[in-house]
Amino acid sequence: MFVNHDTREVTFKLVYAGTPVSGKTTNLCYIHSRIDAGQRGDLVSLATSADRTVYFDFMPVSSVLIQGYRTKFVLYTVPGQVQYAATRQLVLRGVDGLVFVADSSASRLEENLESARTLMEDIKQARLAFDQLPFVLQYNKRDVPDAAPRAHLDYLLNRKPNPFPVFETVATRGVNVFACLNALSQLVLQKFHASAPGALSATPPPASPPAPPDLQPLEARLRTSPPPSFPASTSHPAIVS
Amino acid sequence: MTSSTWCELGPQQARALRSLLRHLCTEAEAIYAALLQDSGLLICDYGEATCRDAGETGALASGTFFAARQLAQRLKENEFTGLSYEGADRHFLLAPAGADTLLFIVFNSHTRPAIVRACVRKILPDLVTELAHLGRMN
Repeated sequence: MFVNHDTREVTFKLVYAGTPVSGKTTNLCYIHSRIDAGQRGDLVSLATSADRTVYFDFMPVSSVLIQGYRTKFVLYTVPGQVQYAATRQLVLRGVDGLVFVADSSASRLEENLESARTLMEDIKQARLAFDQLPFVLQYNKRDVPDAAPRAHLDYLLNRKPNPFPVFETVATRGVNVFACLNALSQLVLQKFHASAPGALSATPPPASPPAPPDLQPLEARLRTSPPPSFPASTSHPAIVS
Repeated sequence: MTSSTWCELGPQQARALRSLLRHLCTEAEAIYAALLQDSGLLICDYGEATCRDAGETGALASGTFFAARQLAQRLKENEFTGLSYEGADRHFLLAPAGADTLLFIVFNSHTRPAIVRACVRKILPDLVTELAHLGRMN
């Protein structure tokens, strides 16, 4: 995360990791297609001719104003294949929030588990404290004929006293894609405020009239998408609504 | 074991860093210089507007640097001091500037890579000193 008091910008890095061909790039493509061009940068994809991500996909998204600071989220995907551990660890540098995208197909449950194990190893290698990292699970491809029941995926990937937030998605059609992104961004912002409550008030106000102290969503919004539902305690606006 | 490192840049530090980057661009006759966090996030830049980072440049530059370094290590070359690219007219140099920061400098054929490298070497200590003043927390 980077706080620039000079340009009054806060930038967070969010990474989509997960099972190979589970739809990580599709998530970014959908987000790219639905966000106003003025609020996002180019979708940069380093992929093979077979559209497999070999290094990362990348896209910056401008979001809300917090105490007069523009918030930017840079979204990355990492390659899912086990052999790309080195590049995954590089892309995980400085990550502020993580989505694990699992494939709902019953035939790929074992691969989901293997990918989750690999990700934990990558996080360890990148010297990140997983228990402090905002993290959400995404069960993608809920529309495939052999989709495993949600309870089955939960049992495999989310069996813990305080389960991670889970989103059942169909990234090709955008179902719950923004709900997942918004939830992660909320967690990241909550962590930021909890860890550095005075970070945005340490510098004098700018010469121009300051923005209202409460959180302001940007005017340019997603053209159509139902508002995501957040926990009642959430006080931050969504990236898009 | 850490969570991600948070980094803060104040207006005064931004001015100081930009002044050093401006000096570097002038001395080396470069067209653009930027400091990047190793995560790919831009800290500060100076120079031609067409090179300005909206996010993509930093991500690609950082990714390029670390991928090349990893490749060098796999080829048993552990002294990786930077990466330079020479195009038809636009060239760039990527070099570490401190523990977790990269210097990205773009130049054209008005100057020479050797001159740019020499100017970078000259200014690096000042950049590193200034970068040490950035607010950091885990």
